[in-house]
Amino acid sequence: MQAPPKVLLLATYSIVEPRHGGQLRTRHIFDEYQKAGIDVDFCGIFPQGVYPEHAASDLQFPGDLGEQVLETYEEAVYDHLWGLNLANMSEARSQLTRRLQDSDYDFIQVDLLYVWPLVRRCLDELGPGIRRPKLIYSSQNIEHEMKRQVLMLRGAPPWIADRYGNEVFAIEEDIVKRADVLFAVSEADRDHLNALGDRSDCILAKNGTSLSNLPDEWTDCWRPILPAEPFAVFISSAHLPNAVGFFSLFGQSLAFLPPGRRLVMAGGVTSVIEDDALYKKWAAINNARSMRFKVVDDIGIASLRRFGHVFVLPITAGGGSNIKTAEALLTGAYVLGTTTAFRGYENYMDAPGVFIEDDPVAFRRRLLKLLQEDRAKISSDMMAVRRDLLWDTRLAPMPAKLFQTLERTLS
Amino acid sequence: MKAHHPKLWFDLTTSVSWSRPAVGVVRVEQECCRQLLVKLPDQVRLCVYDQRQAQFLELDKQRAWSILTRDWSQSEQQRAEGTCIQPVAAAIPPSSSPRGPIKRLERVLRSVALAALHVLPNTYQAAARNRLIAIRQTLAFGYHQWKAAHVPAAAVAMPAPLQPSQTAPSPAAAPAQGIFGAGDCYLTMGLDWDHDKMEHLYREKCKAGLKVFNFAHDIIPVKFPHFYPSGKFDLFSVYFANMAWTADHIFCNSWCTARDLGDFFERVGAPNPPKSVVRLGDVLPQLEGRGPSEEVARLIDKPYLLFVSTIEIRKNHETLYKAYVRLIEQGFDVPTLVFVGMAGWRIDDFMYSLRNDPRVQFKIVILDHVTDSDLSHLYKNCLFTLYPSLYEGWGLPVAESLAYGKFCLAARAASIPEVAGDVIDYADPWSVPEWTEKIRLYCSNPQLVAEREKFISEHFRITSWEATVDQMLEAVQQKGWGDGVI
Repeated sequence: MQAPPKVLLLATYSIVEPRHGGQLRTRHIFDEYQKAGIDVDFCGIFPQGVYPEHAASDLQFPGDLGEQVLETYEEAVYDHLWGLNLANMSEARSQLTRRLQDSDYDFIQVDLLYVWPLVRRCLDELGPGIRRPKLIYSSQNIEHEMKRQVLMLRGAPPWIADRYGNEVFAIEEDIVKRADVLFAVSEADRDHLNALGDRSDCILAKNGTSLSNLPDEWTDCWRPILPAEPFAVFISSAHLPNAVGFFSLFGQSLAFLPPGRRLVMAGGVTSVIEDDALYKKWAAINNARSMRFKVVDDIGIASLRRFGHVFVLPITAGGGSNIKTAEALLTGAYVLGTTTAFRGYENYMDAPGVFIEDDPVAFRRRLLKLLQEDRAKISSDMMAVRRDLLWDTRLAPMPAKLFQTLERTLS
Repeated sequence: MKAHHPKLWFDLTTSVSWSRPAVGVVRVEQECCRQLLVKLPDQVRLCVYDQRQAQFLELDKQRAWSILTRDWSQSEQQRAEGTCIQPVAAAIPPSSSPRGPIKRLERVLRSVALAALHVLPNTYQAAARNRLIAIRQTLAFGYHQWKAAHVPAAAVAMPAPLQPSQTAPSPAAAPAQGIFGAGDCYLTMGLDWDHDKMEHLYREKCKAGLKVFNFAHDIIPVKFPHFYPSGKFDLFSVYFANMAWTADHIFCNSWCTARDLGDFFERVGAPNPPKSVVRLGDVLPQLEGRGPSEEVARLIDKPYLLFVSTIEIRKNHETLYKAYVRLIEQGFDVPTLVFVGMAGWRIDDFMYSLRNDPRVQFKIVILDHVTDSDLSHLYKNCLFTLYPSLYEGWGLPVAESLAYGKFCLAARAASIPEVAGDVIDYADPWSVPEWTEKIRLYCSNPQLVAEREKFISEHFRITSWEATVDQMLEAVQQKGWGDGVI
């Protein structure tokens, strides 16, 4: 009987308590592999202290960067520069190499680009006689484009955006060309990666979501905290393009909402928005028309999903595919988003209760209208169709491809 | 089935809780209310907003008249006996308006504190005054908390106890459900930003189909927040953002205010309701036969210039102070300069200078708590008036000065030219030299002032408060209210 594939899955974060989109995706890849009988190890490689909740198998190294960066842009390029510096840390190389030597993996899967410089050096330095695992790159985004975009959004001069954009491009092109198996999160990303690697075998493995299995009694306690009148919900991570989309579509203030109607924000994006000068300018108006939670626990998220009237996806920048779109679609509430927010979910753009508006005025007008409407009524048949948004369906191509590749290798 | 006759509700919350002579916004509210009550006694209903209960309550008209006809020149005793001024509009006989013991106690304590302050060396006065204000605020807060806990039903902060009404239920007896009916109109023009009622008003509007008419006096706290204490920008930006939603129509006191408000709505992305400009009345209440108070009588005996305004940075008293200092140092025999108005905010250093600069002692005089009667005497007897304000939504004192036939030297700023056109003279509010020279010019040439006054009498048309209300009623009627009754 053929042994199951043995995979080492790598990312630059812990997946013990996944919160943001990247963590959720990696965590579900790990789970789906396990469910499929794949022998998978996960190894998060991240700066010391960044993830207090982590597994014993994760690797932590000093958070130093190899070079001085202007403070304004440091956050935007930190992952890239730390990844480069990590590849120069002998301790990091020896620990990862030891793991590769000890476990004889069939596959090494890079789930976030920035560990690739380290992985590449380790693979190059593996001694003779040691089997090299096949390389999987499961892309979450077109990283070089996003890096350039984020730097520009932060006001970086073009030469800085070009410099780091080009560096990331070189790394991305390298892994895309070398990867034995390549996954993308959306059709657009798949086409882009195929073109970048001059190949045509990139496979779609879209983002998904999971159903909340929390009993209503747990979320009932959130009802009195939340606005009594129908409210909009915006849940997002601290990823800068999320805040950029917020300001692009909502303008400087939430005065377009009538008194008493509120936008409930949750997740890391709340802090990014609150700290922005645009928000502060009309902070009193914005505060009066919003309710702002930072990172909330699973009960909080489940409560917002249960009681929210409209889920807004004001995404105008960044690449990849928005996990929050899948989550919103599965709530059964109204979903109002942009074309960009529906990358990877194109077949839901015409679904009942879903509204796409790219023009800021139309977006705001639509939101107002939806807040005046009765709650969305999505039929149970339609909700059943939406179950194909669950991770097991969306990620199914991944384990299948691994088995297929292994089989072909053995034969 | 009894037909429902739509009512016109006038919100008198500001005047109900106002406890000093009416100025600015309060005067506008009271004069318009009087006119409406006289003009449409059957259609107009009065209401107040009770913040604690978050509800609108109907206000008895008799009670309202006692507020609108309060005479601040009278003693407590006289007021208690019910003698009142004759307002511009004829009033129904007022009820008595005795003041409560707490108010009397507050007044006594205030006098004692002020006397004690003056005993202190000058250097300690400002700090002691701030400390006393803080103590007063703490005591007031404590008292209101205590009072709130001991009031069994909804109550409205009144300077005097409410009398049972024969024509309308008293606030305490008002039903819990809304007082507004379908097709009713609601007009508010007071210090609404302090009442925290706009969100509730919006709900009432949505629920009852109420047509709401707001009044914008100015948006200066949002446009120039540096003129105000911290927190006012936030308070007013939320207030105006809510007004954008509650108002079916906004009355503005000037094109300047209408423009500023429209710009604000656009900047924050709020709806921009229809607006119209209403020229405010410039007639003070009639006070025939009443003599000036002792203090004012002493002042008007000699030549003086008059500046009527709350003392705050925006009103730019400092330019006049500096111009006066220059004139005095140049040996010019300046007339007394009378500042009429209460001390506002962020002016401690300026007040310190006024009190302690020996050059202006007895040359610049401040009068607070001036009654309408005294103000009338002050206008009538001054050489001319001054108005150096840096920014205005309207500029009522300029109009009042003209209504008294008095020439005004005013700032060429914001709405002020809309008030007076070319019948007065202007100066750059920032230019101390220009004010110095123009004050010197008009003080040295009484015939020039007389010519100006003649020009005013020939060209300036006084606006009655009745005309103001007529303009508003026209807009209200255009919204479909009161067909055939106005």
